Amino acid sequence: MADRTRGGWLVTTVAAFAAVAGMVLAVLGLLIGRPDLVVVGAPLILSMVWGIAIPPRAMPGVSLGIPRPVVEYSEVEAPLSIDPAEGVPATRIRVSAESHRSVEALVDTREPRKLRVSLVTVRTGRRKMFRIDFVGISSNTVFRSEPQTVGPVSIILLPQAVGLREVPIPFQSHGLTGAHGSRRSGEGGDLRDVAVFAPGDRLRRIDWKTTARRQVAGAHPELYVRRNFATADAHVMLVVDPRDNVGPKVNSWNTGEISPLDATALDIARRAAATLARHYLQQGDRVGLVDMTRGGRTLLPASGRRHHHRLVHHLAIAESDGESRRYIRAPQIPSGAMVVVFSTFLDDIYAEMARMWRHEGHRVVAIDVLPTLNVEGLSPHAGIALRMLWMERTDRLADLIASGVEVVRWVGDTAHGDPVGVLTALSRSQRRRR
Amino acid sequence: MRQRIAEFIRVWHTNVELSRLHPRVNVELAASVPAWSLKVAVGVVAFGCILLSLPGSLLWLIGGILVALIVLSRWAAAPAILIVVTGFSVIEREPFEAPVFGLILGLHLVSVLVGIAGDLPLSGRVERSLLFEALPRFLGIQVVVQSLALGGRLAVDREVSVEWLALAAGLALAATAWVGAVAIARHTTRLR
Repeated sequence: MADRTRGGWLVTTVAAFAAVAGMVLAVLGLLIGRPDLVVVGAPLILSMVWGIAIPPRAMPGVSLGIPRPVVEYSEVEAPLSIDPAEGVPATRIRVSAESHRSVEALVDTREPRKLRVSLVTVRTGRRKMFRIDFVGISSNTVFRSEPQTVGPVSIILLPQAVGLREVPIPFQSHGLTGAHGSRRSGEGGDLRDVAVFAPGDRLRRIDWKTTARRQVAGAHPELYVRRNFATADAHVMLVVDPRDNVGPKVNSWNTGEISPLDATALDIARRAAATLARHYLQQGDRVGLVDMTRGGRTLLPASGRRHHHRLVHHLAIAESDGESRRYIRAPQIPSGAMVVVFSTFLDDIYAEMARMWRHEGHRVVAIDVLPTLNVEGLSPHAGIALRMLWMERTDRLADLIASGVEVVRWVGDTAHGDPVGVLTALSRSQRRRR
Repeated sequence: MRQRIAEFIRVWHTNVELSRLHPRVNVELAASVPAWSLKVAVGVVAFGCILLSLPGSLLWLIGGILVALIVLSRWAAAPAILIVVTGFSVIEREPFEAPVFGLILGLHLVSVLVGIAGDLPLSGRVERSLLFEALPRFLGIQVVVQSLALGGRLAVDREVSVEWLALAAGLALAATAWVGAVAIARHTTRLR
């Protein structure tokens, strides 16, 4: 029997069928003269009548609060409020979210309710979450409301940085202050040399011992000053490739169905970039970002906490614009800046740009963000295709290394993983110039 | 095969773990019971009703199929058919024998539990307070109907004609149904 629609409320099929069953038994009992048959059907009819006697007067009010990430547990939670309505003791809810299995429940809504809905995800970026479908249920399940929907709500999940010990710095430093040593003389800590006093030298820098030692009898006395190396800050440009947002399951590369427990290449790239940005900015360096998806929009290198927030937000909203166009012109990188490229290197575009920047004299670090692959369910043909793709990628990375680009594989999200060690090693490696 | 492909590809770290099910959204409810347990309870009560109704092999077959449908599917007609089939079997007995009292209780319980959990999937949950909310109405109806059955039993024992009893009961139910139908029409008009 189909549900009967009347003004937003329906007679439920379960109640209608039960009442019909009760009536059938009653009528049969009447026809064959068996009162016990009538009595067997009586509770079903009385139940229906009782339910009708307490009709629903309004719809329960369901509202969903703003989702909030709980970083420690990779969770996102949101408050769900249900306001009671007269004659509606229960509300059936279905909570669903992208890439999650939905959950259905019958909730007691005789009193105002505050529920907490949550889900686990390691994904970052702009996400839509928590679609709530709900139906009001009257007493004895006689009436139900038409299905209504709240949400989903949009949220931007920011990438979380992990700890790093040391990071590589550019071949060239900028300015006269900062955390790094410079080759120029200035106000830094390390002794550079001792020189004859010249206009512009500060009096407190005069080295009286050397001055006394170098005095020659009869000659015009000369003052000597101690000169130190200056300090400088580093300029770092982060270049994120958002095109290949692939998950670890190779089988899902076509379908795009990625488990929320699997970080994609873009998630890893965002997290790696956020980690490096935080580390450099904490050192007082200047960090910029090249976002190739929106016409090559660039955040110029800057420092400070607000710039860090801006960078992380830009990283979170960086995503593929659906076009696989080939960028002919690489964005301009400030002179002397180090370039960190985050890519899967499944094609040549970002590898070529990295090589070009290296040839221009920049220090270039390529962070390989392809997730650890899972080849489960891969057909033999797809396996061969993957193998060819992999060989091309291996050659590409080898070419990068040969051209002076330093390649680091970013595995997972842990602070104790491989990238920490490799980056530390790179930071201690000798500065090379071509 | 997966291992062979993994070796074939020789990636840095190739993970061939079985894929995990997508995680479920979590809702923090008050004390609740899983819908499957209510459906199993419906099945158990329904089997009890079949046992009370002098089952033959055909009734077992039909009853078994219907119980499976009630537990595993959301087909709303299945409990109604079960109620009609098992309820109708009382004509095999003398009027108002003891098992009829059990059938009155059991079939009503099946109807109530199906109303609560019938539309939910097996993975759904029902807050326990809703079961207690339905209990007074269930008991109220049972008190009335069991009293009627007891009265019928006494009338049969005193050799009152069952045809007259059936007629009286039928008229009473027809009046109740008419009142219910009028109330539905009024109510749905008011909500329009």
